[in-house]
Amino acid sequence: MNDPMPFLKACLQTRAAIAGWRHALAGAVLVVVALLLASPAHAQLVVQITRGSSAPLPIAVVPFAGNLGPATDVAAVVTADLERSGRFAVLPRTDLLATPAPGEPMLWADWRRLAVNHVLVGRVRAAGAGFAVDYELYSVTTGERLLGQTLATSPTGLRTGAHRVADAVYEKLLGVPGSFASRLAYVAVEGRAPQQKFRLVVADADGENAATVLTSAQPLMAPAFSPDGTRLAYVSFEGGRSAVWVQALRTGERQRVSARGGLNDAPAWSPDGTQLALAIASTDGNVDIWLLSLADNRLTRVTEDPAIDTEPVFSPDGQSLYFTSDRGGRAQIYRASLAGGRPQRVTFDGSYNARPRVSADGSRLALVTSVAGGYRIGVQELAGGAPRAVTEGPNDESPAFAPNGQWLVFAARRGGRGVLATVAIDSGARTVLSTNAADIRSPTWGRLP
Amino acid sequence: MKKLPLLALVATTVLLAGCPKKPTTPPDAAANSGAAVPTQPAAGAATAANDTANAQAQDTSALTPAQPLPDPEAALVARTVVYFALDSDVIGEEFTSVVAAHGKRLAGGTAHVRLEGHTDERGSDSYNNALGLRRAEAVKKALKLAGAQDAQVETVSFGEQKPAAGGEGEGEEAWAKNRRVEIVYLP
Repeated sequence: MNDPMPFLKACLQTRAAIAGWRHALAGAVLVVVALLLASPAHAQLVVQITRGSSAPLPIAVVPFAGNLGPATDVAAVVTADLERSGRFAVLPRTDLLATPAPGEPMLWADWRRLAVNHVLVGRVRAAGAGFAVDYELYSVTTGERLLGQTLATSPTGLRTGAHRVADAVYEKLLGVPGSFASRLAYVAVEGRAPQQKFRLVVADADGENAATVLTSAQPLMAPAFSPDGTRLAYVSFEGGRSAVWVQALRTGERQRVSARGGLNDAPAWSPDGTQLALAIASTDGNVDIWLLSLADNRLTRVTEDPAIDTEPVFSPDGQSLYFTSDRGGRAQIYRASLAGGRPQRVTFDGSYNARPRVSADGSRLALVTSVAGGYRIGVQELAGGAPRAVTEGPNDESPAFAPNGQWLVFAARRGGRGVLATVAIDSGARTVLSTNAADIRSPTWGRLP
Repeated sequence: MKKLPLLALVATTVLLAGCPKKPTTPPDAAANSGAAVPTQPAAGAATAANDTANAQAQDTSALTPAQPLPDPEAALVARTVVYFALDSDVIGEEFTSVVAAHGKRLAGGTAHVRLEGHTDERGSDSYNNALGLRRAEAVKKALKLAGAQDAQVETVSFGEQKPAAGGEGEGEEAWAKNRRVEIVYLP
């Protein structure tokens, strides 16, 4: 609004914009049809907030102006994101006294009466083939505008745009990035043993837009997003034994990258996306950690021990690997420097610690830890200390950090079903993602491409 | 009269103390090992292979008595699942004779087996894959000790991914059925 030129240009381009809007609507309808056709096999995930945090911030999210028709309700998506985080209490829409758009005057006395600390307002416009989303975040206490931004989305990207708005609000008010604009991958298992069907699914972090990327009669497990979010590495037992595959998510093109001996397992990407750390069994069945260079398919050994060494994960600097080993008798976490040297033990408390994952800032590990005969997700600060259980069990596994390092997704069992659950490490807020059509497990969390 | 029950109790205690692994596998799970086989198509093929091999074993045995006696070896070979204790790859005493009987059957012959290692659902997925493989390798080692050749035996692990029929659900009874190695004769 500071520069009148874009506004003028927008007026001049109204015709084009309307045409673009029509295209966008047609695109949206097509997407809906595709989802309906696919829906019998793609039961939507149900997300339940099972616990909030103790002192959520009160905020109002005003319906975005111009956000009409079949387009995604941006404010509703932002509201759901903020509430799911457990850190915000969003004012019910029916309690709003006014629905101002960006740039319109704010009646601060009214907002104060509603006892909210912050207000988010926005507008959705057709722009090119897609949309532009203007949004502003205000402090009710001071009247100060904390955020005033515009983001552009593709014709089908309005929902992702809404998640980005939620990320910006979360970061502005809490000082740490959000990860609402991100994706989950997981395995859905239908049927009962021994006649089961396994599907590898990629969905938005809120469970929407779930799409099956692979179906198999044999187990699929351990998916891992490449650091840029474009590819998925995973383990498939097609053909009767385990192999590691890498699949491009945009094209669906897949490649078998390791099928050696008795076990190919637990792929983990190097931070630069050029290598996979793998657990591979030698001919005598001993499982060790290896590095696979994807460009030339070259293998380099990292560990050599008669014990089980598995579940590797890179440190964020790419200089070392954390992994599970029972070389001390029971499963514990060790760290191996890629420069060489004997692996150092990292966990000392508890009889079973496995499946480490490292937060993006390298400060903490998430792991599976045994507590009183059950298995829970634990968090251990790498500066020192013992694993602190952040879930209740009794059979939680496969923790994965959200890109922001604040939240974990993990596999759990509820009512005899496999479900995914999330926990915010610091606030303790919980959600459960489930579907009554399948057991779901092996979750991982990745960036949007 | 008073001494007899006491003696029996002492004897039982000594016996139990001597084989601590026995109670870890429920008797019904052990009995299931034969019954579970035909329910799977792949295992059904394995059963057919077993029968052929049994017939051969009897034909070539010069020491077959004139009277038909129950064949203890055949009964052992009919059991094709070995069960394990939690987080263990040690073959329990009650399965050593079963595995040895399979090893003897393989010895000098041309049959091939695939040993499929499995775990219960507790603990971490990939650790369980490695544990399942370790169980399969333990059975392979025992088969080789009984005379099987390396090339006759392949090992594979499914970890916790393929619970046994009836092994779904939670609780020790279900889990015990899943901590297993299935001996599958390949066609």
